[in-house]
Amino acid sequence: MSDKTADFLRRVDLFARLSEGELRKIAHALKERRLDRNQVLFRQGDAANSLYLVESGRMRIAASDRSGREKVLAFVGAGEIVGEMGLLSGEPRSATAIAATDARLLQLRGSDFDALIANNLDLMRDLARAVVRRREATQQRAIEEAVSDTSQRYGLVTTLCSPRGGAGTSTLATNLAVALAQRSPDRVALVDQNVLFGHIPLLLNVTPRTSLAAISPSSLRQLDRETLEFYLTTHADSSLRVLSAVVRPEEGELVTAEHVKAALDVLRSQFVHVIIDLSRGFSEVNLTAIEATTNLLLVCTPDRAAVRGAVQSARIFRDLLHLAGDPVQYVLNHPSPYESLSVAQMEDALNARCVEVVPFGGEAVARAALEGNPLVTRWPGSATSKSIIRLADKLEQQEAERGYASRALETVSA
Amino acid sequence: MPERVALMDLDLLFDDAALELDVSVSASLGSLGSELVSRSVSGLEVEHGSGLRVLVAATTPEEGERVTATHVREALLALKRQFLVTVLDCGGTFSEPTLAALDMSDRVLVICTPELVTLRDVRECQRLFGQALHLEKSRMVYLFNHPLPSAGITRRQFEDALEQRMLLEIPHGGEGATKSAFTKVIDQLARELVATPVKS
Repeated sequence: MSDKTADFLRRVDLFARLSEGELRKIAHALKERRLDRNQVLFRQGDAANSLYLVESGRMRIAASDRSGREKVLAFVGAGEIVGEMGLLSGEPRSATAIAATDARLLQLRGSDFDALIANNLDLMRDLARAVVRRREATQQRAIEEAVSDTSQRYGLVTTLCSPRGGAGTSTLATNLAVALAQRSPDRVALVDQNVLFGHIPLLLNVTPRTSLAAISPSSLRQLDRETLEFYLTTHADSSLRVLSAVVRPEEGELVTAEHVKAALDVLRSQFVHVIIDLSRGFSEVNLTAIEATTNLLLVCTPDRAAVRGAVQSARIFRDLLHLAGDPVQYVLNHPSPYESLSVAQMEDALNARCVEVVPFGGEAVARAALEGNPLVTRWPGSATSKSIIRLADKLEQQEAERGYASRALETVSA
Repeated sequence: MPERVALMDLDLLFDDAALELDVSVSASLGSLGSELVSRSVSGLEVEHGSGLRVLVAATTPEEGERVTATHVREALLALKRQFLVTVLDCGGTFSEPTLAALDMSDRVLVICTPELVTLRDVRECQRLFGQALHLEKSRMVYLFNHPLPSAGITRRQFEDALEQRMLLEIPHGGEGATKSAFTKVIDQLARELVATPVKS
């Protein structure tokens, strides 16, 4: 255990200030625990007698409210700690920890933890800061949810579309939404707006029980968060909610621009991020979604046809919709290992910088799609996943700045 | 068969076939407005260096909106009179122009890629082709194509799940070599399609 574990501990922020000797002592005290996906580590109300370091995999932290409804509080990944609050407070577990993926943890028993912090004031302070940060995030979320309940705040709508088929738009939209949901549990929705063949349920291995086509726009506008949940499909591993435009191609004709407008209005009032996977084309249904969009990500492949399609699409969006500002941004995706145009050539031809360049993901992309397990959770360390996670970070940053701006405006107005 | 084969790009957004063949198109079906193609398509088609005649439905999405099922029927009747073989590249929708093209096709080549999502889509297409469009099974030809070097599922798995044999498997073409396995299979496909009679 010792050398490998000490190497790992050196990379954990919490232990960054400890000496080599202290790290070795902790490494000796740790006990390895392996969890299968969906296995419970501890439950809400259990006595707190250990804390855990996540060495690999991802844990889902969830708590039930008085009505028994479970809410995902956070996802905790490699290098982060779980269960520290109970040890510090001596109170029973305030939440349940479940393995969202297969996970390897390092357990530190309460007695070893007490001995460790008794001799190390810096560690105690760092741990207290980590607890405070987590509490603040939970409180911030409670405030945001209270605001969204009264429909005063609207989520950020990001649409991904491509002028050409096979550009990897659905794969990018799915992984981007999952990456965001892992940061903001229960607060991210993904709309599969392909009115013929939606691919997102298969990419996430979920089965929608109903579709947008099955609801009338007027009913949609009446939905609160609880009733809305019936029409959404939850991806349990990430807490992402999925709204499918159709479950069968025949339903496509039933989906109108009014449906899309009503659905986006209600989703924006309940979720911090709404991601839309748009099919090709300039139908009324698609244009309505684009009109409601804050960020329009045009997914391009590195070839001449993609450049021509992207330039034409951007022109149509600007001319036809007279969008405020310029929401069009370009994402350069490499669904194959070949490129007929370099990044610089693409950017010259588009006369714009690409907001992100997503590298070819090799066999992993095909395997992830086959398993219904998104790339960002299956292989989070791959270059493709890292690129998608960077894009999620940018959207998170944008949402945070937007949140501060709207709060500031509210203060000025008050 | 120089000058006896036509390609019609029925994508209603962009004329990618023309771009791929590097031919310059000045007119399209959508540019005709309500005017019908009637007896001839001359003036709409352009010639590629191989002798292939290329006709596009639309050069811009705005033109695509003006393409009707009647345009497609008229154009196909004219192309059938002029050419021995007409190849139609349909977009991935069931728009009225696409349905008209499917209805008038002697053979419908269903391109399958080695992915689970494609398998589901092809099964849905089979159902729709049979139940809603009443396309005879005998008109359908299935091809297993590898547009990428990676594959989620094998041809055998795909065939078993679909309960349908593939006519051919098209290997990944890489960056494109003229004597590649890809080219050979496409050549074989052309020969098989020309050699097999169709019911008119």
